[in-house]
Formats: sequence, C-alpha cells, structure tokens
Amino acid sequence: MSLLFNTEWGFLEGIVRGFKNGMLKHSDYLALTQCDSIEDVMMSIQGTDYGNIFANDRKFSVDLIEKRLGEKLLHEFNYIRAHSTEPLSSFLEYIRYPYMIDNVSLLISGLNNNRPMKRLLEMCNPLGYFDQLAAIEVAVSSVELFNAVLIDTPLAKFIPPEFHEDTFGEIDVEIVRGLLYRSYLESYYAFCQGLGGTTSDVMCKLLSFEADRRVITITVNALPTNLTPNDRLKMYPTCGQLPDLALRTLSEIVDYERVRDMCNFAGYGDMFENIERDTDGLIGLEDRFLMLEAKNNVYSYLQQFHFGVFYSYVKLKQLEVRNIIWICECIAQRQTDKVNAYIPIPLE
Amino acid sequence: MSEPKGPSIRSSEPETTSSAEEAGCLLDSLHLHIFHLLEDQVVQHNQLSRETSEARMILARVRLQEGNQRTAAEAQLPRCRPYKALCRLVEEARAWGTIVNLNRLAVEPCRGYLQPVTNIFGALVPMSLRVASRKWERCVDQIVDCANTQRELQASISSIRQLRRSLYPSYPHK
Repeated sequence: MSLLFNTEWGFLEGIVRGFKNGMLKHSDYLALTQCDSIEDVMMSIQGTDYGNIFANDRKFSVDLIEKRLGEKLLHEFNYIRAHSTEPLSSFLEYIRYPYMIDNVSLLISGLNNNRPMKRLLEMCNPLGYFDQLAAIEVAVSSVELFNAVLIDTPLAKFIPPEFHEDTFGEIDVEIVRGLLYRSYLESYYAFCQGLGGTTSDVMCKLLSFEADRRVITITVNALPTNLTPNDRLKMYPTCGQLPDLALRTLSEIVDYERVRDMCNFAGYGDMFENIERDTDGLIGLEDRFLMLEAKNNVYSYLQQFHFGVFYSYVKLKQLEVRNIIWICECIAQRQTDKVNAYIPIPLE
Repeated sequence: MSEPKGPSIRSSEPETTSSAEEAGCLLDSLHLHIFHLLEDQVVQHNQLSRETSEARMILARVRLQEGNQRTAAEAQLPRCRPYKALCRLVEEARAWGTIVNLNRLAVEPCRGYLQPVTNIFGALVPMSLRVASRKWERCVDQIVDCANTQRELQASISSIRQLRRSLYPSYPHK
C-alpha cells in the first residue's frame, strides 16, 4: 500500500505536510496576542505563511480577516482536490459535505424568514459550494428547495427516508441539520472502513470521536428544550465508541449531572472536569472537545501513507482561523486580558 | 439600589425671610440629591458597560466554539413574521414625575409568547449562547434603571430651575 500510495498521492501528501508545517507556531500566536489593533493583526498575519492576503483591502474589520483566511484555505483545498484521483477525490468530497449541509441549513432558515436568495448565497461557506447551489435561486420556499435541489444534489444520499416535502418546512432547521449530519458521518465512517489500511485506522478513530462528541453536545444542548428522546436518538450518530445502551440512556436524560456520570462511564469524564475552576467562565465543554480534537488531528501526522492527513489539515486550519478571529475579537473589544484563551494546537 | 426621596418644592412657597431660608435649604437638598443621582448614574452605566462587555465576549466565544457550524444570524432573524413581545414597558407615576417599569411575561408558545433565543436560533442552542442571552436580558433591566435615574435627574434639575426663578425673579436664568 505504501508503494502504491506514493505513486498516486505521494505528491499531495507532501504538499499537505508542507501546508501543515506553515501553520502558526506558538511564537506567531504570541506576536498576534501582543497587537494593539486590527491593523497590527493584519500586518502580523501577512508575515506568516498566509502571505499578502490583505494587499487590496483598505478597510479593516474582523469579518474581512475571517473572509481572507477562509479564502486561503479554500485555495489550498481546491489545489489538492484538483490534483487528486480516486478514491482520494471522493474522500475530499466527504470533507466538504458538512459545509454543504451548513449552506443548505442557512438557505432553509433564510427562506423561512423571507430573506432574498441572493443575499443568502453571499453568506454561504465557499467550501460548501456545489453546482446546483446556483440553481437554488429559483426556489422561493423550503418546499421548492426540497424538490428542486436536495433531491438532485450530493446531499440527496444523506436525506432520511422519512423526510417529505410537506413536513420539511415544519421541522426545526437544527433538527434537519442534525439528521443530515448523522447520515453524513455514518456514511463517511463506512467509506473510510472500506478503504482499509492506515486510512481506516486513523479516520475511524477521528470520526468515532466526532460521533461521540456530537452525541454529548446534542444531549447537553437539548436538556432545556422539549425535544423527545426519540428526536434526540434520531440525531445521534451510531459510529462512535458509545454503545447503543449509552445512546438510549443519553437520549432520555434530563439532568446535566447524569450526562456527566454517563460520560464518566464511557471514558469522556475529563471533558467535564476543571470547568468549575475556570473563573472567567469562558472555557466550556465545547472548548474541551476542541482541544482534544486538535490533539487527535496532530497525532494523525505521526503516520504516513494515509488520507487522514488531508482531513486533519482542514480541521486544524479551521481551528487556527477561529483562534485568529478570537484574538481579533478580544483586541477589537479592548478585552486583551482574555486574548490568550484560544485553543492551543500542539504542533511543536 | 436605593432610591433617595427627592424633596418637593410644591409645599415650600417663600413668603417671609424664614421662608427664603427654607427655600435655600431646599435648594441645597435638591443639589445634594442631584449629586446622589449622578453617582447612581455612573454606577449604573459602569454596571451596564461591564455586563455588555461580558455578553459580547461570550458571543465571541460562541463564534470560536461553533465556527462555521452555526448558520449566520442574519439569515435566522425573523422577518415579516409577527410574534408577541415578552417584555412590556409600563409608565408609573411618582411624586416628581413618571418612571418606566419592565414587565416580563411568561413564555407560552401556545399563546404566541415565544422564547427569543430558541425562536431565532433553533432547538439546539449551545449553552454559551443561552448564557449570553441571559446577560443581554439583565442588560435590558439595567437600561431601564438608567432611564429611570435619568428621568429623576431631569426632574430634579427642572425643580431647581423653578425654585431659582421663584427666589430670584430678576436674575437672568438660563
């Protein structure tokens, strides 16, 4: 497999490892956290591997920085995708599906709130663009969106069989997103298992963590709502390490302490520790998951000749963009005492 | 926060020299009352500023945690779809003027009183967004307190002007 891998994808693995080596180091983060203004942050970013991405910009804002950083990642991803062959091409498409799901959720929300389609398309994530997205302009309601687009798009295979165009507009958007994401994650897991070898080992571990994280996050977020256990269970991906009994128990839990107890039993108890000791109240459960996800994605680079490096690069780069935006927000809001509360990426 | 009772000028009509002294004491009391109100106003503004800063920081944290997984808020804000407000402002009379009271109604989806955070952002709202929403609700309470203090301050200033005009009618008052 190693010999075959290098003939087809060795170049691209080398490229993505080079991209990963260009990510921000601890010294770069130190320089960013010491900036006094957004303009200083933009100057510091241009001194890193991002390069001169703000050359044509005159106005300085956090949204502009986020947009330019996202464009850089998109450019790198498109380069890899354009040079890839099967099954790497399908693997890279799977990386894009969550962004497609986000874009479709945005369109559903916007159409339900009578927003103009052109404005909604501008807000879509470029990583989640697909050919049929341009045809969505003809849809003026979520029912038309379901008929005209979802059936003929790459997301069609993730639509649950019980979805119907008449009920589509009545279901909460977040539940639609949850159901689509579950189907996507299980399909991705099965695809990676089918690839076998190191890719299967690395990706199945990453995806099963993602599945468990989704289960716990949905459970915690659904606690103060009226979602039934059946609604919750439908959104839980089953490809994680949490057994079926744990999933059924979590779907029925209505108390935060019981969620913690169940996660202790399943090996995720560390996620809930130390949260009370965070005096600023900023570090939450999601931050703990992000830190563990960052560590797992960095570890995937310890092995060679597998597709997991591409997945991990996209995840780590997005986390890096979020960290930069957090630093920018702290500087813009003049709350620099919290600027070091970004998620560390243990690259070194 | 305590509400210092403002002295009223209606019961004091200077007719004799002792009445002029009383009016002078009343004027002093009103000035002191203004200083107390200014102090209260500064404290309230500082509290409001601190609360809004914390809420904005939490929103920035939500942006870090959720990344692109959350749909843009602009697409989710309700438009052209009427819903009933949970907060009502009611004016209440006081000796010196009127204040506003904030009445909060209970969430009752069957009667159209929806919870804003879930109505706008869907069923699975992250915990940090709920915390930010509660902070913004506290900010609304503090804004009402600031408005009431400002009203009382304006009423006291008007009272001082009236008293000065009656005490010194020939003096050019601004």
